[in-house]
Amino acid sequence: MSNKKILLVLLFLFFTSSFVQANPFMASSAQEYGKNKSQKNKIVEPVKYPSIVQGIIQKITPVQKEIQSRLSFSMREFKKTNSKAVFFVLILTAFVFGMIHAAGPGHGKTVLFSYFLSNKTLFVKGAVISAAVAFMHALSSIAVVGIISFIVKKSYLLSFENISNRIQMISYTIIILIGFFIFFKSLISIFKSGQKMSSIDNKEIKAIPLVLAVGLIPCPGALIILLFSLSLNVLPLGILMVLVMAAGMSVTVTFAGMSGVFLEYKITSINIKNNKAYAVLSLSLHMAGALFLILFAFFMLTSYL
Amino acid sequence: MKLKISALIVIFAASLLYAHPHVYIDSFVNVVCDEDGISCISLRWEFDDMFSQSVIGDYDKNQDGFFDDRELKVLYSDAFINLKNYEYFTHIKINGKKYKIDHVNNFKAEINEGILYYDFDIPLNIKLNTINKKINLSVYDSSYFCDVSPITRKSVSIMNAENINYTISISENKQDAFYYGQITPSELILNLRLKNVK
Repeated sequence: MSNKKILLVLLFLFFTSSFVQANPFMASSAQEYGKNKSQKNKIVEPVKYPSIVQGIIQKITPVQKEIQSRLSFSMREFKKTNSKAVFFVLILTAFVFGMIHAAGPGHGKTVLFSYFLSNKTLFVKGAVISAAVAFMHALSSIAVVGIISFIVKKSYLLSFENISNRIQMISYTIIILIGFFIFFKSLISIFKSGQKMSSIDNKEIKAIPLVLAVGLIPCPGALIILLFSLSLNVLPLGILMVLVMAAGMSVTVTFAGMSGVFLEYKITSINIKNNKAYAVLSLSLHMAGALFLILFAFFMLTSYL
Repeated sequence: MKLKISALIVIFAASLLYAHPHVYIDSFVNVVCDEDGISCISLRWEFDDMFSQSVIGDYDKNQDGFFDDRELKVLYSDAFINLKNYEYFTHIKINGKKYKIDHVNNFKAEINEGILYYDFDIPLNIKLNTINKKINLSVYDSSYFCDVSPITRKSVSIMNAENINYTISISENKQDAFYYGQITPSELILNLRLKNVK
């Protein structure tokens, strides 16, 4: 895979995943979308993709709408009938809903992709980390709804927006710090490699802070299911649906994370005989991934300031 | 191998883009005319079941299936007026020039069989004469948090147009493609002129 292609993939992931997840209806100062210049620019200067992709997108939206509508219908049906068949349909629909929902912008995909690009990670471990992010993302929504129910006791939608905005600001700050840590760690390793090859520190950086930072951001899709279940007085069913949805989301998020692991593996497995050149390539890639992580998190953070 | 990688990227790329909307709106447009021209555009939005329940749960405090004045006031300030920053999702051009929407009138929220509806008017006050005026109207959320249904013949009506000659057409508004150029909104094109000038 050529460097140009890799760069294109990175840019593509960056731009397609960086829309702020703000509900336009909710009056929260942090989401005055039209007043944010950088966001305005995103709209007026669209990146054009092949018409075949555009065709897919235009057609898939009604499908998504249908899945969401079936989910709400099945939840109502199950409440009425308690039927096992309906329950089975409900589980399946929530899983598919999760898979498709996580494919949208957000949900930690870009961060995971960049992290895995900047860190050598085993495939299995990468999958576990990605799935953990997806589940935390959903659990965070359950926790925020719980906080609103027992402490805030005000409008769920508005409170969720406010709490979510604050959590996102904290999360992206942590991600920026993680990015800087990876960047400088790789930079120091490059300097060290100039002196002694064996001292190159290519060890994996612990993923737990990243999982926490990314996973803490509550999922707006999960919120909608939880609020719907609250309105039907079937909150336990709503929580179960959110967990099933998280399983579906983990498939998509893992796929995004695995793309990063795979790219890192492909690039660093290029056959370079010169050990030093290999080390520089590997560390440069890690630095690029870290920079990408910083840029992405900074871009997202400024949207909330 | 290259083919496999390219295929993965294409699948991933497509999947990244198409799944964003969290709220689905069916939008209906009513062009309200008067003797001299067009007074306003009335919009009616029908929300999806899940978003409807979320808003109803939050703002119909007494759960009577109706927003009273106090509930409506809170709903307006919490869950409607912020749309000003999004131009109320309504994009209008008059003879090719963008029309800036300063405010909207007559906001109403209604619950019908568990579904939430918003109604509001966008004042235009356009005076017509015997020369054609062209109005282009698209309704879309450029952040794509909400998916607004495309304009169709069935979702458009025109009122009090006895004194007006008009044509209606609907096409794709490729110029305003949003979400990185991936979503092309539909566009209502109206050509209007007065039948008789007093």
